[in-house]
Amino acid sequence: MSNYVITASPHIRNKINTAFLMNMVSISLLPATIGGIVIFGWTNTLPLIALSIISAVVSEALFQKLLKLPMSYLDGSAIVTGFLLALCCPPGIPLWLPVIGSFFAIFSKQVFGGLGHNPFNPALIGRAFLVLSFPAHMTSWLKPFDVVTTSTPLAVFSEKGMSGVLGLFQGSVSTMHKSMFWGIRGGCIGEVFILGLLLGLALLLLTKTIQWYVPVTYMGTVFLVSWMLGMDPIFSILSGGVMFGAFFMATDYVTSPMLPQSKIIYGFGCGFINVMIRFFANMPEGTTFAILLMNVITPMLDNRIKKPVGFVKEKTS
Amino acid sequence: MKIKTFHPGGMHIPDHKDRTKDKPIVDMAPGKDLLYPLSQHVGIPAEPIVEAGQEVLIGQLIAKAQGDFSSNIHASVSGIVKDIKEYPHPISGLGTAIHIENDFQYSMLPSIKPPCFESEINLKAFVSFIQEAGIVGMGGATFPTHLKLNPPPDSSVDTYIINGAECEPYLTCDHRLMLEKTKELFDGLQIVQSYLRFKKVIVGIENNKMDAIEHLQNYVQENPMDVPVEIVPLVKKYPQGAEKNLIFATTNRIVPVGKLPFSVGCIVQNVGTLIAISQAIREGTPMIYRVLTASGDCLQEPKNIRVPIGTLLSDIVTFCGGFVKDPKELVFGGPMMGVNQRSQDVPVLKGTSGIIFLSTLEPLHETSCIRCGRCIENCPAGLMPYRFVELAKKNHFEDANHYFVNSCIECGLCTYNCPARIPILNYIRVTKQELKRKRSR
Repeated sequence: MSNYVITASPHIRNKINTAFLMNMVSISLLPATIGGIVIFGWTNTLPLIALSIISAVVSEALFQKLLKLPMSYLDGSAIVTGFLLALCCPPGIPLWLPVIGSFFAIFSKQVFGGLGHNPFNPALIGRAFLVLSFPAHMTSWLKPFDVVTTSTPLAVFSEKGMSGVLGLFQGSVSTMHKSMFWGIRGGCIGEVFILGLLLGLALLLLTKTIQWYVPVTYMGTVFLVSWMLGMDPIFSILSGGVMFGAFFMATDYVTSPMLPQSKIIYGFGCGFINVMIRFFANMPEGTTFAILLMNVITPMLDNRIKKPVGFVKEKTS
Repeated sequence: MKIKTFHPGGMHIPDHKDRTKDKPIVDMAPGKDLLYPLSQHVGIPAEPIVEAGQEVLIGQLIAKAQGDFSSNIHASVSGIVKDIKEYPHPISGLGTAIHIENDFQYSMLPSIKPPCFESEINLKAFVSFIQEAGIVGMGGATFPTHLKLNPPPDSSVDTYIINGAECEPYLTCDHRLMLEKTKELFDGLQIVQSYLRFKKVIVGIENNKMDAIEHLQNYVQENPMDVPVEIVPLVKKYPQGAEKNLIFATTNRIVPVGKLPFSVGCIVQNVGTLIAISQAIREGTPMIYRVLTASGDCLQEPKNIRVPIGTLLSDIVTFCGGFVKDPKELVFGGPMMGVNQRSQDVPVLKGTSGIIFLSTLEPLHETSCIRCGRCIENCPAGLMPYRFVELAKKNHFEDANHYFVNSCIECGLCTYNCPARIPILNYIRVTKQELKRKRSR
């Protein structure tokens, strides 16, 4: 008897596995990251990013050891979580913040059973935890190419309205749009360099890592709803972390729906809640909570039955 | 030239066809021992009509079909029946087979000669002739051909689709048949057409076989038939050759869930089947040979071979110059839907379209579903494969019916693509079996 392996078909596999997909997301984050590092200086950003990633991976290993789960801490998902969390922190904050933020992010994933079982995007949970626990640190922004603190255009907008925002950019709308596109404004490390975010999105779409539904409907909704509420829609999509969230956070596989129609509803919901928070709630930024709220109803959105090819409605006689 | 395809789902898989696509079909003489399992087709196994010690000739009937849903089996060499007992079976693992020892004389049964009937005989006689010849679908599903050529009276079949898609990686036997046996292919078509009178004939070929597409187009132009024959190039996308997908790609007709192609007026047949029909009618040879592709990264010389059915795998390995590296998996059929073999002591069956020797194993370490949605995106039946995993793990097999589990054609794309390496199709197979068991109880 020879020792050929017996398995059921198929006998070949696509090379793309979970680690490949996770690493693809990390790679797609690099253009925006490089932009952030250049704009805010490497001392204010690099140690923060590195520590956040290390903390996430170490926490993941720790939890898997304690909970006696399979040790998969190097599959790239913890790296993405730590990376994402660092990129949505303001530059120059104390380094213990991302460390405990990442720990909490991984905790929020592991209590539900690890990757694939978490209802909420771990990085956003980490950020929400930091924003709610240390609001002073999480809302102190560095001025680009400088060490003085400033305000984000969104914060200015929610205090003083559009005229206040224009005051930041010599009163010119086109200067405002241009500066905001190139990331010359206060904000989180990863969210300011719009060109880098667009490059990252292109990479994700071209490698078929994600589908277009969520980012397009999310951004489209933000644009349209802001415009209907009388806000400059271009300012609306360029400001805050909405683009970063729509491209990298809302598209998280685990916490977003799987069916195309559900993805469209989800993207719309994220965009709508996001603008509602910006306009009517007592905080300037809504991306974090918009996506977390939509995460809640993801299982509901997926609870549909897809009709197969050749489906015929049974006649009720 | 419009290139057609099906929706939804499907994807291109690295096809590895370069190894054999330019190699002409070579004849191979069988070894000393040949095995003829009684079950080589969908349906009831045939019943042996020879005894141990009996001499048989090429083309002699050795096992008789049991009813309509069965198929005759003929000897493909001359020699002596050694025994009839359980032998390793390539599909079911173990099954009764007739063991014939080759006398290397290759004496033909005297009655194997061109049958002298023209188109005078009626459809019924033609169909029963095909049945006698033991012809089954050669694409791999081995559905008895006489059943396909005999549409139910209440259906109005107008389109005949010849399947030359060959979407499985590695396989090139249909490709070579279209290039080398063009005359027989169209002769077979002419014969079928004279009885069934289709309004239209379509040959669907994936566009990684451009030479075959052009060759057939030229042939049709030079030898016009009394029915329009359209050579349709198809996008190279697995599973383009699956019956329902091929019908949709070439005619835009959708076969309803649980129905046969007859219901939308189509009959689909593989190129190899048509050539077998031609050979049976013109030469009188029953189904005793088949063309297959021996390939994979382990074989010294991958080849397209014409072998007598019943030839042992070990003889084919020798014929192909042995191995350059040790294979870990032997696959009968293509790598997407084929069946693994335990040993080389198994015979070629009527439906064996390829023998693939693979040195790499598919990863078996299953991790958690990350809900990426790739299984849904690529499913050619439009299903939600991940649901079946969730339900099977909870033993909620009944609920799988709500998600149309029986629409699954088992193409394997969900498992192929799963980044978490979940053998989704295995869960679906278990679900189908459980449901069948519950129904029969």
